[in-house]
Amino acid sequence: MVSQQQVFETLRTYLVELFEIPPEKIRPEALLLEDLDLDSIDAVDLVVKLQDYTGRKISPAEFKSVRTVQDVVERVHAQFAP
Amino acid sequence: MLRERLNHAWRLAVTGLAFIGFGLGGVVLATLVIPLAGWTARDRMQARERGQRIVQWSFRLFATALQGLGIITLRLSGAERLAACRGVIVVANHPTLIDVVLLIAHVPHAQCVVKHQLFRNPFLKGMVRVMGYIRNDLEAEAFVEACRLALDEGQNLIIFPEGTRTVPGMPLHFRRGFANVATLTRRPLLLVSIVCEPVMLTKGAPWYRIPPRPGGYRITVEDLIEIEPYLRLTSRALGARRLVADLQDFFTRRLSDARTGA
Repeated sequence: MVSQQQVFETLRTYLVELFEIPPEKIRPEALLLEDLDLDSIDAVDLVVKLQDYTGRKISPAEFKSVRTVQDVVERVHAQFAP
Repeated sequence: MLRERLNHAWRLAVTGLAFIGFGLGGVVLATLVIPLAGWTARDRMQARERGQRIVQWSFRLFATALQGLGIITLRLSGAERLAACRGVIVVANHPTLIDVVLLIAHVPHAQCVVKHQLFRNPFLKGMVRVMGYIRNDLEAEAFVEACRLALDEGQNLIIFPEGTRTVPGMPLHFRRGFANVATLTRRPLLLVSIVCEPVMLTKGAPWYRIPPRPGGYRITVEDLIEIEPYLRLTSRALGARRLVADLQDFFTRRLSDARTGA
């Protein structure tokens, strides 16, 4: 079973790789739009990447309500649930 | 002295009339001329092209009138490159209210991204609707798709990355929407710098605060930027960010060169 911490670490790598966000800014409570300067097109790119990671299709609807890094971690973590 | 006062009064009066003329002209075009031209067209494509041609030539007439009446002067370099462009993203800075009018006057097949507030403006809502201009408050993916459709049809997409007029004295700040469009549609960007000195019709200034001399527009068609190099970066998102940064620098430099007379 993948832990939330592992998901967080992976997400952090993706955020650095895709958007060159300074790693120290990526904290669980960071807001995606305001703090990390992501837009909704970026979110689509991120979802594609996360789908590769989980191996499951993530519907955009699931991501509509995410606001923070922790929200993403929880959504992705839930994908690994048996 | 008296001559200056008279000239000021003249330009003030004509500026006021120009506003009224533009507003009413826009309503007539939107409710009568463009729909008529559309109804007699054989298909949607021809209707759209007719509409765009009508608007282009009306705006050119308006721009010529402003020059003839001594409200503005206009030096445009590279007009032939604007006239020849198809399916490109025309990116310009936005110092004054009538920038888009001056651009549309010289860009064929012009499609525009416009501020959503214009869809409520009593004088302009008819025009932006009948022309199918793209609202800047569309949801991001729908926005990109609308732009893609226009570009695929060979229309030229005029977009002001600042999203609104420059705040005088403040540094340029480009938003990322145009770069998302460019990286996702892989279309080239044609840069157009707009300098107005003395400046007029700036953000936050009422129409009657006119400059001491006619507003002096210098519109320069600059580089055509291919998108490929930006797509070679690690991710599309990075390409978009780099593009925003590069173009913001480019325009900032151009404007500062223009100020120092370089």
